[in-house]
Amino acid sequence: MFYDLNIPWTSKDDPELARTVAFLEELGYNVVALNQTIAGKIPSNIAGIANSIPTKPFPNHASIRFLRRVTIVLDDPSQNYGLASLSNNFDIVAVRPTDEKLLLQACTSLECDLISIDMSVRHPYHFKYKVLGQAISRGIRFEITYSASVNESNARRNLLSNAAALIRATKGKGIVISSEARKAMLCRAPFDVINLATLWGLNQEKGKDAISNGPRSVMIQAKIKRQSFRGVINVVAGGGIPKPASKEVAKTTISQKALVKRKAEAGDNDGAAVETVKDSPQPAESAKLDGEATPGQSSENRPSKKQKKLEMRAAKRAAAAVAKGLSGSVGAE
Amino acid sequence: MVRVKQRYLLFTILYPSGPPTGSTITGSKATQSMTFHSPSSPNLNRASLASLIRSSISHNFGDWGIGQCGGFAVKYFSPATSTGILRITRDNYRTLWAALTYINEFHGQPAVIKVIRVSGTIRKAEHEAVKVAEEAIRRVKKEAIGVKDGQGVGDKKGVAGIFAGSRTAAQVATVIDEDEDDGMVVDIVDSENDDDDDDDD
Repeated sequence: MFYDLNIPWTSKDDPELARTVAFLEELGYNVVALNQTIAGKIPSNIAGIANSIPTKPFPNHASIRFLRRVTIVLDDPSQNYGLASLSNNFDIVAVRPTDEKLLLQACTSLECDLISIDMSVRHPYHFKYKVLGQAISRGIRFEITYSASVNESNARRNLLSNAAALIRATKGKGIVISSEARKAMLCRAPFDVINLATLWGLNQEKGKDAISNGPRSVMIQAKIKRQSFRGVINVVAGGGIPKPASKEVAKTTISQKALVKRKAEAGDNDGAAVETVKDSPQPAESAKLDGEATPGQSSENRPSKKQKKLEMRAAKRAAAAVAKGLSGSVGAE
Repeated sequence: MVRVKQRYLLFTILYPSGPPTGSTITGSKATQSMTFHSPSSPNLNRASLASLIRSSISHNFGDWGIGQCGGFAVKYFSPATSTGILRITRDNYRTLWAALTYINEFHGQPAVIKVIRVSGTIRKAEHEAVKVAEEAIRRVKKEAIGVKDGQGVGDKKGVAGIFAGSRTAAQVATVIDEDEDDGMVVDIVDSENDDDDDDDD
């Protein structure tokens, strides 16, 4: 699965956007986020802006999954951006800080999923791990967009230096690469992008993560933040006639999984506080989340079973040894 | 003496804004995959491709880049399928690959080079080329059937509608039925066998 989390949205009838999406499908991308950029104050009719992207924008590209993304350009540190209200309307909320102070603010306190730094211009400050590491530990990732560098020589130079600096400062963790392509010709195939990432200082494996697993975790985390209780507990099974016994089991396993995933936040609500979240847009999606929940849960159960087995075996062996010892001593006598 | 290790890059040229002017096969702008996988213009041959790639290397990586990976060779290029194979020493293939990625036009026509496979032997690269071409034809046929079924229905045509303009779906379907693609596959296989012989010598 390959992701491109940044395709600027224009309108449904724009032939260039349709062509870009078709070209991305041809190149082998599976998930595309359509991005709307908002500069300055967040308008009050944000739901209307979000709904300008239909749920199925390009029905003839069935193999691509579309996400709605918003990017807020931060330019005033004193302004309170109501980012929490955005997450109800968009799949991914990204911020683009314009100076060092705002970058610090975005890394430490803002409720966003992705920090997108403009890589095509020169920044008068250095990226520091102390600042960026805080964002990484909160699960926020950094975006590098490559399409400006394909077209323009100056942007290419800046991208090379900025991306190398960012990758050095983050130690290659928490990087997401996307295109931000306004034209089809600015997109590149996933493996070509991975090769470009090796020029910036990511190795092949981390480069691949930056275009497949990294964006995926951004998507999933944004979804969990939006749909679950405090980003910890989500009831994934919806509908049907509830069976009291099995429900009890489901509750415990979900809370167990959540506890493992978010130890820090799980402190203040125990397994008893299971919150029902009532917005599951598509049953298929909730089923997917369910599927994702199972591996973690099974891996949790496995060690205890194994341990039991080992204990049993050890006990048997001990019993056999004792028996043998007895018979041996009898034989010696 | 240690053998010089090489890498063979199998690449294909995609045309994001439709077939280039002067390409040999016309009327094949029917389905989505065919619009992007257009035949290249006849002026694009092994020598001109090499000089274009070399200029991209020198633009992006300077004299050092040319010194490192100027020794690449275009082992094979077929304008009919816009597919080719490059040979480069193993240490420098990433630089050459990046130079390919940064190419965005051929003779003023927007173009994107996609590397399909990096291989240690030319034989594997050829096998992959044949496989990819067969897969492409299977897809085009499938899409063509889709176009036929949905006669006049816009959404079945996909992006083809953007390029085909006034052409109706029925017309498009008849164009595809001419089966010129099968000739293309045979063409690849033949020329690649020739290439293989060259390499063995």
